[in-house]
Order: sequence, then structure tokens, then C-alpha cells
Amino acid sequence: MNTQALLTPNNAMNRVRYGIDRMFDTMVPAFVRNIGLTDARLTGPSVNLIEDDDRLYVEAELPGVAMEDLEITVADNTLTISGARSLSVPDDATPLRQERGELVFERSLGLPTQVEVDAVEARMVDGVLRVTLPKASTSRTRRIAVTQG
Amino acid sequence: MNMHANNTDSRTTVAPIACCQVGECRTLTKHPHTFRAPVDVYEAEDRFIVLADMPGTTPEDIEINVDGSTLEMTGAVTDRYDELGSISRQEYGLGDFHRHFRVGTGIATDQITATYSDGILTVNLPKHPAVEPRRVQVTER
Repeated sequence: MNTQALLTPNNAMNRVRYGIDRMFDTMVPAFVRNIGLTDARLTGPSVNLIEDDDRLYVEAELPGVAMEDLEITVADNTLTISGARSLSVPDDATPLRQERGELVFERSLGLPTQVEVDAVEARMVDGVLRVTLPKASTSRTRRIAVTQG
Repeated sequence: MNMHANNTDSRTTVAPIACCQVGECRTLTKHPHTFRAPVDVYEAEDRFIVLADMPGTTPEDIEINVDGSTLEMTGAVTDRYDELGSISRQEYGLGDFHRHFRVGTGIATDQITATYSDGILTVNLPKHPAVEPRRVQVTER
């Protein structure tokens, strides 16, 4: 089997590399925020938009993000999702591999139809956020019965 | 700026050393249509901890197998859009998550436990208790 050991915490070079990576990982998002630019971490997360006759559903994968660290607003037909995820490091543990990272994100999405702003609901289930936006009555799909003349 | 860079170094396998107890297998051909869940690995005094982002699955749909020296983690994701409606904008795909790791002999594979909450899978891999070094007495005949 083609296996490869990737974890060598006792290797001094890896420790130095880890330290430098962590430094950049914490500094860069703050710097980018301060000068008003954005990077991938700040513009995410990716969203999916699903639609039925009466509602829009916007979904985003946000594992480990607590509902209280999340802000969802709807204004001018734009949905904005912003928040942060902090990593909970197990007690007395040394990181050997870190792919997940902390997140600070903000995402805006123009909605294809008018929605009932007061009736918007958001739920987080198993790390997936789903925002349910009922369509405004004027935007709902109406089936017109065709009568024979 | 992530630890992805780690994938390219440490080219050699030094299996018996404790620090290499949880190394990633690079053979992914068995699972070509799954998503690679991002993973953090931590080492504590008595165990290794693997955290994997697997949003949208459930404890029942997660399968963790230890076969010899391979730890395999799969989180099945059902197509939850089926009953919702039609997708009018798709920026990410739905699919199963998968990762597999090589675990060393220093891990008590029969005592591995796992929990799932908020879309994060946490796998605890306890180490075997340390074997005390023993000096063999040489006697005169």
C-alpha cells in the first residue's frame, strides 16, 4: 500500500513552519479586514439556493459555527450571512495537522424574488445552515387555470 | 497559508516512531467520487484526536472502520434537496465525505471512540500504555 507518514511533530523544522503558518493565519485575515480588502476566508461560505413555489432556501455548510456567532440579515432583497468559527483545541494537545482553520466570513447573496422579510427563518442542523425565505405574495408562482373558450 | 503544505514534505515513513502513529494514506482510487473532509490531528499524552469537518451527515450515516493499520472514515450525505425544490444556484456539491489514515501499532485500535456534533466528527485514538524499559540482568555462570 502506498502510505506516507506526514506527521513528524518532533521535527524542529515542522514546528517552525507550524509557528509561521499560525502567525500568518491570524495576522492576514485581521490585516485584510483592516485595509478593507477581502480574501477567500472572508468572502465565503459557498451557498446553494433552492426554490419551490412558495419559498427560497439558502444553504451553507458551516461546521462548528455556533448559532450565536452567526448574523443573518435580509435587506434590499439581499441576504447577508456573517460570522466566525473559533477552533476548540483539545486540552493539553499538540497540533500535528491543521486543515480546518478558523473562519471569519461574510457573504451576501442577491435574492431572485421579493421575500417576506418578517417570516425568514434560519436553522442549523449538523453544521449545515438553512435559511428559509417565504416569497412575497406578489412573487409566488401562480398557476393559471386555462379554460376552454 | 494552510497546513496543506505539509502534504509535500516528510517523504519517508518511519513507522515505529510514536510521532508517525497517524499518517495519511495517499491511495484514494477506491473513493474517487467522495469529498475529502478537512481534518485536524492533535496529540495528547494518552491519545491522538482527529477532528473532521463533515457537515450534513448523521451519526448513523458515519462509518469508521479499522482494518489492520488503516483507519477509514466515511460520512454519507443524503440528497436533501430532493424534497425541497429545484436548485437555482449551486456553489457546492453534495456528496459523501471520506478520509483514511494509516495508524501505527502504538494505537489501541480496539478502543477507538468517535462522536459527531455540529457537523464535526471527533475520533479519539487511545495510545497503548507505555512499555517500561527493562534491563536484563546478566549473571555469571
